[in-house]
Amino acid sequence: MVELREVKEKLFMITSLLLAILAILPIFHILFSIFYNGLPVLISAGASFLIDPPPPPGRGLGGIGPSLVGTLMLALISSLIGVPLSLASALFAVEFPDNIISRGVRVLSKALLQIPSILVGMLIYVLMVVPMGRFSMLAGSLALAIMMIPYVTTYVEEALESVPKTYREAGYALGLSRTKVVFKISVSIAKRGILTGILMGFAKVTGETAPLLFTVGKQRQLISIDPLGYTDSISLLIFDFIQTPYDNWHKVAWGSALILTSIFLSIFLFTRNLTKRVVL
Amino acid sequence: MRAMGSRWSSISLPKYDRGFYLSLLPLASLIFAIFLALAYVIASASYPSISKFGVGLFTENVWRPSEMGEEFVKYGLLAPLYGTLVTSLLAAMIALPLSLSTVYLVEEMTGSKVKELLSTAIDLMAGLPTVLYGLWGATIMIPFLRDNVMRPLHSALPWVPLFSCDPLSGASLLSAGILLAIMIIPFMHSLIQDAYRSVPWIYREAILSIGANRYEYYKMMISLIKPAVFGSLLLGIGRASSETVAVTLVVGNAFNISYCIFSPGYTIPSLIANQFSESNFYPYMQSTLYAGGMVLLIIGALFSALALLMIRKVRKLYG
Amino acid sequence: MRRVALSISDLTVKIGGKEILKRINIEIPERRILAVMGPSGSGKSTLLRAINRLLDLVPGCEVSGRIRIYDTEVYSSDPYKVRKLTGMVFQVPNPFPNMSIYDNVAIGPKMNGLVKNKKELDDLVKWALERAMLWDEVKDRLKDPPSKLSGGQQQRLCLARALALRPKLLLLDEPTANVDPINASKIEEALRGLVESHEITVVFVTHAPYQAVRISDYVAFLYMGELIEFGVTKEIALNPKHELTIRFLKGEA
Repeated sequence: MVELREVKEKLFMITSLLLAILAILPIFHILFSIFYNGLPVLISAGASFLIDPPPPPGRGLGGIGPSLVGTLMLALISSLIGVPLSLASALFAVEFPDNIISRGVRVLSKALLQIPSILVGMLIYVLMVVPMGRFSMLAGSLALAIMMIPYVTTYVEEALESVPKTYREAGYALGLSRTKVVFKISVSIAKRGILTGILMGFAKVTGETAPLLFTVGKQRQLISIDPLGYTDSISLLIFDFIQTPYDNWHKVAWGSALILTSIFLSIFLFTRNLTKRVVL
Repeated sequence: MRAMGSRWSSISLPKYDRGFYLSLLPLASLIFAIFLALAYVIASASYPSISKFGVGLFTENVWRPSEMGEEFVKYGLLAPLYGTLVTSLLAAMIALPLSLSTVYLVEEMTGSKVKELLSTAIDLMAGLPTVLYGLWGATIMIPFLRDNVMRPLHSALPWVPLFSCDPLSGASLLSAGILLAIMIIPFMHSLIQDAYRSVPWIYREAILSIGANRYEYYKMMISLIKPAVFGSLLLGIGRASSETVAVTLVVGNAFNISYCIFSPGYTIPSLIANQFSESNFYPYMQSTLYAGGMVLLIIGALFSALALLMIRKVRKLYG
Repeated sequence: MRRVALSISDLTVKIGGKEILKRINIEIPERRILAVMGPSGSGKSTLLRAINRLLDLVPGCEVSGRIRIYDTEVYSSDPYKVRKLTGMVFQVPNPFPNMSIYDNVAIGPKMNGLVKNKKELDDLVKWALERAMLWDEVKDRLKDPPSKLSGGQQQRLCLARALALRPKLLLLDEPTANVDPINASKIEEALRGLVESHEITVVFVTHAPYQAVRISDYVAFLYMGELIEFGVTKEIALNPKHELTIRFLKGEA
């Protein structure tokens, strides 16, 4: 003699639980698969996997040295370009919130977040690759910086805005100039949040693929740190290798996936220790 | 120095402001430059193909590059446009109920362990490099779907137009839709969650005070933020439509327009990913790809604008 | 012979380890009005929410003691069932903004299966709006959203919404605190009318001593979580025993 209403409630609870489990099941399976398929590759290839170039199709495991270095160099250079710009934009938006430019910056920031990453690559292609007549690490870094800026700006803005008003007022009351208040007080109190933002931006660009497709040249035989030279990234390598029919290249793809995942997870776990809340 | 009227305090700020302001201004304005550059480059690069092929560029399904002569060249982006629409729509429709469930569990379930696990999983999903989704999608998800979902459905219900074709490899619009759904769940979860949290406490108490049970409570809460839920659906579609590498690896990359979701297809980003590198050898091909990109931008912008209006409606209601 | 409508025994509520209510004992017969008065922070709202289990929403809440509404043990019953017995009106008018005036009142009975058909629902909605002294003002615009009503009207709408459940106990948390004097007196009139003609018991919280004294039959004075005095309103108003009560009634507490 059960009421329909109670049945609906029970059904709702069960369905919600099942759907929520369904929603997060894939990520765990993905991580599991990467470890399951990648670990044997890394074990049999050994430490030289991180230094050697990729093997020829069909034979051996080689390594992903050039691509790994490429990923790190690209992330580094794009951070050097992107982080200061993000900090400046965020500071500007927070310090002068009523300014029309600042409002524009906020709106465009959110809008830029939505732009398909491949279009950013196409933009840099026209602006840099074609005039230079060549692909380059710098072009890739620039594309990545554009992806990174709205992302990091959002984090930093949030971090700065969460600094309680009273600290800043105390600073002004002491006679500190605007610049001093901003840097010595606001930024320093918000530094954890800002650091999290920077790290999240860094993590994001290490994993990006589309902006690099037509900007860096996919040079994966020689380790290079030349900003004007061709380079590669782990993500590009995975993308290319998995589309080929070669079994050993598939193995290399899984091995590199594990390396990429490790980079991502270490930054992720580190930032989670820094702050509890992680924004998209 | 004029008082900035900043929300921090209304005191008149020190003179050093001007320098501070001016030093930050050019850097902050760079974002405008990026935007203008993007709009200009994409529009001007698309122009040649649009002026040559006209409206047909977007309404016909044809891909005929030619090295022989310009008279024989013809491009029509209907197939990738169709594929983008279908996969994004599918993704958002699948992700919505899943996100509503995750929001429910995170917001209303007691037991911090479960909440932590869910939140962590969702944050992981948000940050994982998309190529890894594609890798898993292509090597593991596709064979699984093909053998356990597509083939059975096709044999059991071949007369249903959606299931009418025989899945060969599994790379298909459906696979892309499902993979995209997984990828946009954290995004939609976050949007719905923000709106959910903005509902003032006093409405929650009111709903419970009239005797609502857990199901009725959640139903009423969601109906209180309905515009935001719809907005997040639109933004989810927009997000799904921009995804490139994961989709390229699972969509099949074929110029196909079919009711059957087991058939391979194309999306604009995957078309670009596949064809761009060779595209300068073929007249008008690169311009066509830029035109496709432009459509993506315009539609994305429209959806975003609409979605933001709806989300703002909820924000105004509950401030 | 009047039955006991509400019985609170030894109620202690701790939130985050801090004692918000200390050993409250109150008993009132049915069809009477109890005013719970006291300064801000005395625990009045917490007491109210303990009665209809809305306190469950507060994390880190520990409740000991017993509350009984007629024969129902509040803390050993399903909270959803308890809430069907009670109706609540809140300090800030909160009609559901996404529903019409009619639907706001109708949703409670519809959801709880209190009516069998549309006609019964219409009658119930009309009854509730009449008892809340709002019917004449809204009868021609039942489909309008509540935003078209003034604050005082919205509060009366919330009263109607609570009444539509035909609750045994009506709980009001400072119902006129954010309402203009004309609407406030309409609400007070509505409460007296309800108690005199229908099987309903009213408990309302207020920080205004004059309101407590004016319309209630019983009054409880709460201070810092303790029940300082409780009894028949006329007696306490004329002859308050405790120092704090005297000061509160004089407007000094």
